[in-house]
Amino acid sequence: MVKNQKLSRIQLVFFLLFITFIYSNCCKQPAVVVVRESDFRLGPISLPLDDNEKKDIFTFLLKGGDQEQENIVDPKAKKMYKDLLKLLSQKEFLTSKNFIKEGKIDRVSTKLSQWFKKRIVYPIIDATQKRPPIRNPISMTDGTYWWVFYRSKEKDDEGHFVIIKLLITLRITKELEHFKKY
Amino acid sequence: MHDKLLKRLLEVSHVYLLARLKDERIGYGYTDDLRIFIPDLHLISSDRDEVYNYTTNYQDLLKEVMQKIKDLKIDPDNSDKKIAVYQLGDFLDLWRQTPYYWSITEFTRRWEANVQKILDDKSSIIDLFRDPALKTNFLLGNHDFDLHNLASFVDWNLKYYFPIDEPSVFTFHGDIFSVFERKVPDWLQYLAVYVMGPLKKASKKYLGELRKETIRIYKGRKFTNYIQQKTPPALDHILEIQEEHLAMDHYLQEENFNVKKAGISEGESLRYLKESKELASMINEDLEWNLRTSVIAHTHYPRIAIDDRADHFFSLMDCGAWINKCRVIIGDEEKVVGNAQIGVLHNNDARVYQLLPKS
Repeated sequence: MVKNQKLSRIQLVFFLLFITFIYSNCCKQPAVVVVRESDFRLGPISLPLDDNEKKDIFTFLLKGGDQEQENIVDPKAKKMYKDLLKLLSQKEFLTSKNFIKEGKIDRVSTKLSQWFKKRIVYPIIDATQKRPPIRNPISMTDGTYWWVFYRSKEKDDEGHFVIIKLLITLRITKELEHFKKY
Repeated sequence: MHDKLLKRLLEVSHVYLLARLKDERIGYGYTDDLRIFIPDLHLISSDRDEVYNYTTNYQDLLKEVMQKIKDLKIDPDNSDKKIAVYQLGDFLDLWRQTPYYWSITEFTRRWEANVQKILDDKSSIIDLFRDPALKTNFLLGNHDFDLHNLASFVDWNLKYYFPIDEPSVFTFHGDIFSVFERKVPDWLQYLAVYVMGPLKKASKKYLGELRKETIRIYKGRKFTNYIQQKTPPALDHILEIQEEHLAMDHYLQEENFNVKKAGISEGESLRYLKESKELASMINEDLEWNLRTSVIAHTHYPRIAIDDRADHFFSLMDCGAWINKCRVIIGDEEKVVGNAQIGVLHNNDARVYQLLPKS
């Protein structure tokens, strides 16, 4: 009898731990992309990118995502994003299968994983628009910016969306390096 | 443009030249470009001000100075000029504002409300700095680094490099060197490259260590009587500038005034020169740039220092603070005055001024 009571207490503890685990990992508020004030965003820019558009993006990123900035804030930007912008200037790359991991609709593809965190976010608040979008864009973050990729209305012959526009917007808060964790 | 600024400042302030370096090797020979640097203010809310035996110095003067800088910037005569204003970090002092700062493990509404309290209580100063016409470039310091977690401060940064086309000057608060001074485990060496270095990002593991190290150094300090300098640092003779001087040619006869030099000067006056030079070398190597001058604050010790040994020139302008005190010699008299300094850079002519109220 006593043994059974102990067992049920242990079961209860494990049950509570399980619920806590489920709650902390599965019931978090979903991330939402916020399109920032006009100084802190660039685009939407039609894809594929041409040379002038690539230059505009590099300048925006060098300035730390602030159109009004008079200084270089992020000197690494050009080196870091050079290859990404090269991909975004190739028409044949601009299909959703190159952006979304196969079989996992909320995961960034391997081809883009060197620049972005693994999770794709679909919900977006964009007060520059009259209404919320019907077909939400694919948004991914590098920690500093949201890169918002807009999709075509229709799928192509292979069943994938064409990626037609790009908007880059500074996140609400920054993940700066030093003293970050507390 | 130095004189245009001085003319405005002299309308509201006594102005003293604390240090000057006029040297082509600064690498900033732009005649239509003026950069003004305002160092640490350490603003806290009015109720917290009562806890400490000091506060931000000469706050009325500070407001008048900022108004004059704004007037200069928006003057139609200067519409073809670039006038940029920098606040060099520690604008707010969250360490002194929230006594529980060291124990918090996450951001709370209470913490955010404390930030808001400073903004509300010191709005007359803060509004001037954040005036859209002034477009102040804010740096984050160690006392207000955490502001980057709030949406309103998203445009504040850790470092600025300028000019954009060919960067020769960089500015940052300077606090990172404080941690280095305390010596020196491997993870700090790593941070020297990966945090301050522009090309890589630090891993979270090391960031946590840095946070812990900072707490280890500073936790328990109450900052009751001072923040950085326990006794007011002794500066040199300083030179009063008066309005009639501005009509004279070469009223500043010495191109190098109170400049500290590596290999000749000693101690505190060269603080962070070596570290800044090494940091610049690393960035230059990575990006094929030619940074030759750094502008910092943090130490509350205003000065200009250079190192031109081995034909490799580097200069550091430390713009001081607006809190605590320093000792200066005016004429034959030594005085203890409140720190109230600004740095100015224009046409290879770097200056640090001490300001004092007229009455």
